[in-house]
Amino acid sequence: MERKIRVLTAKLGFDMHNRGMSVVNRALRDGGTEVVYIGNQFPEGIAETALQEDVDVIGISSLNSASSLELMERVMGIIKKKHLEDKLVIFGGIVLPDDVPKLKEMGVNEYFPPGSNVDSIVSYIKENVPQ
Amino acid sequence: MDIAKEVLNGNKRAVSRMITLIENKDPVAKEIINELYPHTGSGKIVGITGPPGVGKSTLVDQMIKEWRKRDKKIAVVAIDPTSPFHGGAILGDRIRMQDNFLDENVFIRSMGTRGAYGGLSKSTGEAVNVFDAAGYDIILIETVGAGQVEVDIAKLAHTTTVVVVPGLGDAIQTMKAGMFEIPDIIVVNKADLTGADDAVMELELMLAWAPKIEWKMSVLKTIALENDGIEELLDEVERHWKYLEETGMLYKREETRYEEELVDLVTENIKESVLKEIKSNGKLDMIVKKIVSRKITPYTAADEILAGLKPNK
Amino acid sequence: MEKSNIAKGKERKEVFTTSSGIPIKRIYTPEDVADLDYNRDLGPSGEDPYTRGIYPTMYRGKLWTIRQFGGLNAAEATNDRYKLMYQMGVTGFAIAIDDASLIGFDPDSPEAEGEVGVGGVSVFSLKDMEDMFDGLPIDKISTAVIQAINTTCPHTAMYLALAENRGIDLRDVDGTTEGDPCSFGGCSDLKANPAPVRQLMRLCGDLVEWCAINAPKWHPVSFTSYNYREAGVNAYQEIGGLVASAVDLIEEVLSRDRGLTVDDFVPHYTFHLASHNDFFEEIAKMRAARRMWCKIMTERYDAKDPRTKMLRFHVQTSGSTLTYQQPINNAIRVAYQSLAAALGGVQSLHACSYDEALCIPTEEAVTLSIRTQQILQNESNVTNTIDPLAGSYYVESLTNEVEKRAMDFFHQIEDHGGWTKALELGWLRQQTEKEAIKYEEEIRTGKRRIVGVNCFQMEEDPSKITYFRPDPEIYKKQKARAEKLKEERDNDKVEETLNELRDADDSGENVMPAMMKAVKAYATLEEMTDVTVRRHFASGTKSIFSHLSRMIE
Ligand code: B12
Ligand SMILES: Nc1nc2c(ncn2[C@@H]2O[C@H](COP(=O)(O)OP(=O)(O)O)[C@@H](O)[C@H]2O)c(=O)[nH]1
Ligand SMILES: [Mg+2]
Repeated sequence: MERKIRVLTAKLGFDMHNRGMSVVNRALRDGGTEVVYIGNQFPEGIAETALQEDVDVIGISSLNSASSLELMERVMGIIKKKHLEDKLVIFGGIVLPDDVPKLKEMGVNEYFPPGSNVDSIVSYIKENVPQ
Repeated sequence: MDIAKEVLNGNKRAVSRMITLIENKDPVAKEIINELYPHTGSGKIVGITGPPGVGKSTLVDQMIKEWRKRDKKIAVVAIDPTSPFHGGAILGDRIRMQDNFLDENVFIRSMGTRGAYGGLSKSTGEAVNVFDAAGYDIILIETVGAGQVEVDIAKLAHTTTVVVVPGLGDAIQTMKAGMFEIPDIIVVNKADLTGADDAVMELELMLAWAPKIEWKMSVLKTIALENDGIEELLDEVERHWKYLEETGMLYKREETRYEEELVDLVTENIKESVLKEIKSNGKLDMIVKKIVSRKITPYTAADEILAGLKPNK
Repeated sequence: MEKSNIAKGKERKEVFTTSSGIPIKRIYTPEDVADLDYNRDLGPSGEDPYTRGIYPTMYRGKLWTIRQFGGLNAAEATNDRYKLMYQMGVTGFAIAIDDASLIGFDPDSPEAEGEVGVGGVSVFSLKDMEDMFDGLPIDKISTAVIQAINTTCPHTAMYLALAENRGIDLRDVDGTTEGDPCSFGGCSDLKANPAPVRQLMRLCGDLVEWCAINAPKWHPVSFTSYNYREAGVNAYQEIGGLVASAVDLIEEVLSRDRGLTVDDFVPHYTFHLASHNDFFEEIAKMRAARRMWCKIMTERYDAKDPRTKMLRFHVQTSGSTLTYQQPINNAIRVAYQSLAAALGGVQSLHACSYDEALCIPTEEAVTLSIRTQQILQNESNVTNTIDPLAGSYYVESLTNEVEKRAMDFFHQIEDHGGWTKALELGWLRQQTEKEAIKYEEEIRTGKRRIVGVNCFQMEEDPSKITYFRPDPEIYKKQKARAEKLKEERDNDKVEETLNELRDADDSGENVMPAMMKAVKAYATLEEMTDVTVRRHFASGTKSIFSHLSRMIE
């Protein structure tokens, strides 16, 4: 068997801040994972892509602390509806520190705030992807 | 989940999982493929190849849309190169295929080449068969290619379309070599840019030198961004299928495809078992040391290894 | 000279470089500026090549404008915020528009759900503009209409229509439109997608042309290298790109051959730069940019009007240097970056807030930003004399080096066929991404040290700050507002003006006269961008994201 970790990455909604996303995509590639990058998408599109691509990880990026919680709520809802709970869901970008627990309650596995070392993202994935 | 059964039912989740099993070379994949194989053979395989940035993904997105209008069920395999240094890949074709993937009768799957050369991954052929068995009428394969490397796609697909853009004189130049073997259709995309007509003319001139075969290769103009020329492209692809069917070439193409796949399978199998054998008991290491210390020549060593092989089950 | 000392002594690092990688010597001496010719390379401020500043008196005549970028929720809340800021002494506004409007959607559009009031204020019709500036003296204070490329014309038209309705002569309206189509593509990607980029360039050109005649005090375009600097490029690439993009729009307007010369419209250009962390490099960058611009306008375009040769600019301190961790530290970064802008000869300045990496700034945070600028202007006395760093061996030699590298980058862009072409080819995006990745790599390896992020971290932040949270009902409220507007206005009139707009757009004439009419009839942003922008994207392409991906990936 030659298993390769597959990661779906997306910018959430209209958020066009893609600097962090490209840095993370690159780090994931260099870390040996296969990144399916789809650019901007709404929650429905993200979940459907995860299904078609059979990824191990869903990585979502938004720097809009104003809308990210609401949209993530929708993402997590559809993930459940489509029975994709086996996927590791990680979120990067801006969430107010007070709101991070809410993100976790929704079922998001890990949050990577601005300033996160990209190595820590790669190693988190490698350690936590269900075998 | 009985994957084989669910794939045959068209269950997207099963299709998706099955492709992963194939890509990961999971041993169970083989059995499932055996079950699926009798149900394949009705899907049409269309290759879309050409240099990066010419608009292949954009074109594929528009082709999906048009074929949906013709009530076809469409699958796409979008292949991007895997980085040889890290083994990872950024598969970005989907960015341009955002118009149709929520359609129930559309399925898009991205793949890295995972060390294979020639623009396809080793799993592409099998993934195509999974889609075929799952009832997809058309399977589009997007792959990067420039020069002769697209030969692989031409062997797998029923119809191969090479995409170029105006002003890419170089690309046309590099294409020249494999020009007559590979494409069935040539598309000049981005016809909104200046020089499109010149490119068409240049290509048609080159085609005049093509060896005479019955199928007359044509050069079409498209503007993928504006959905222009797509219907004509589809018509031409369908005309090509008709030609294949009527002339018996369809059968011939499949023979070529499976001959290639069979040879690959056998070679791959032998290679794997040989490697397994000689790596597992430290033999490889020993022999290499002997070679380096000039006790034995590489040729003799290879002969010895082969001679000592136990036949694989 | 004590040359012997140079070799002696152990140093902390093997090489010292600026933020953009320019190697820096231990000490600079007259030798480093031996070639400097005062009259040719510096000259007094207000004179060719303007290295020391564009005005003869600079801050002794007029202090830079304190222009804070702001916008939140809807018009009313932003109006309150602007009034507060005005009271505190800002001398210019800059409207931060929300994501839905930036892309050109009305709040009652299905695409807008969750994006209304996000990242700025929702502005979709003249009505919003009226409410937002209610009670504010727009005849006395200048405003920057800052938006992405899609809504350049309609948003500007809304502001200008507001002024006209208030009885202000358009000739007297002062402000800036920041709809530089080039900048967004630079930080994101438009790859080979000429139809829309070119249409956006055309709209921008229309505004430039129209303003030159009708609103001569208005700056119809502000070339915003800030956007791609923040997306990744370094200091010298920033100004190389800045010049290249402005040159491209000059070519666009000149190619219309409608009788305008550079001296007719270039004096209205303005520029928007970043002030990043490397203190001296940023100062050198601003000085170099002025000199470079003057040279190109003189040598290439034979400009006669001195205003054509002056690089006027706004500076925004660099948001991307501000950290999520230990946010109060950001106040200090902002202060240094503001000081660099002052020493660099800025015309107007936005000082970021300490909560930059968290949320839209709170009232307290904005207040501190304004006070930072006021302390600089009123207490530090850096405004007493012009270009105080001129003649410094280090600053002069760094200015030369930055300019040299910027010129190189500019020529590379030209070799790719100019800014627009380089964008279409995806080349600029590649450069930006490459630099962003390099920057991140330096942080990762610790080569670039960031306090609170990869050194001097703390488990818990010592100071607690409050956060701004947008009105959770904003989407509903604005949606209702849009529906109400569409019911109450004269819809026949709207249709008539939109048809006129479509005709102008199709015929290639200037769209602005028709746009002004449509705006005054309360046509909405989405209706107008449907005509002037979305119509030009792939016909038959409905998905907002395929449209978006064409813009940014
Ligand atoms: C750079 C920047 C821009 C650039 C964008 C350039 C680009 N193409 O990316 C420009 C100048 C164009 C810009 C514009 C705007 N911006 Co801005 N911008 C920023 C800024 C200063 C830095 C972001 C950045 O790139 N950081 C560097 C990268 C490397 O870090 P990062 O993105 O955080 O990524 C790291 C982690 O978050 C994480 N991560 C990120 N994504 C992912 C994904 C996964 C899967 C994982 C695991 C991890 C991960 O890993 C990365 C590495 O550590 C932030 C403030 C800040 N300091 O964060 C504001 C900020 C994000 N912008 C903001 C706003 C409002 C805007 C505008 C809407 C303003 C306006 N009204 O015009 C516009 C419009 C943009 C739009 N339509 O989307 C707000 C958002 C408000 C909020 N949170 O509610 C912020 C927070 C500033 C503020 N306080 O007002 N912006
Ligand atoms: N001008 C123009 N640009 C196009 C056309 N088709 C695609 N593009 C653009 O070309 C770029 C590359 O397209 P993509 O589909 O990713 O190309 P691929 O690498 O061959 O798959 C994108 O920016 C597209 O928007 C077209 O017909 N005309
Ligand atoms: Mg592609």
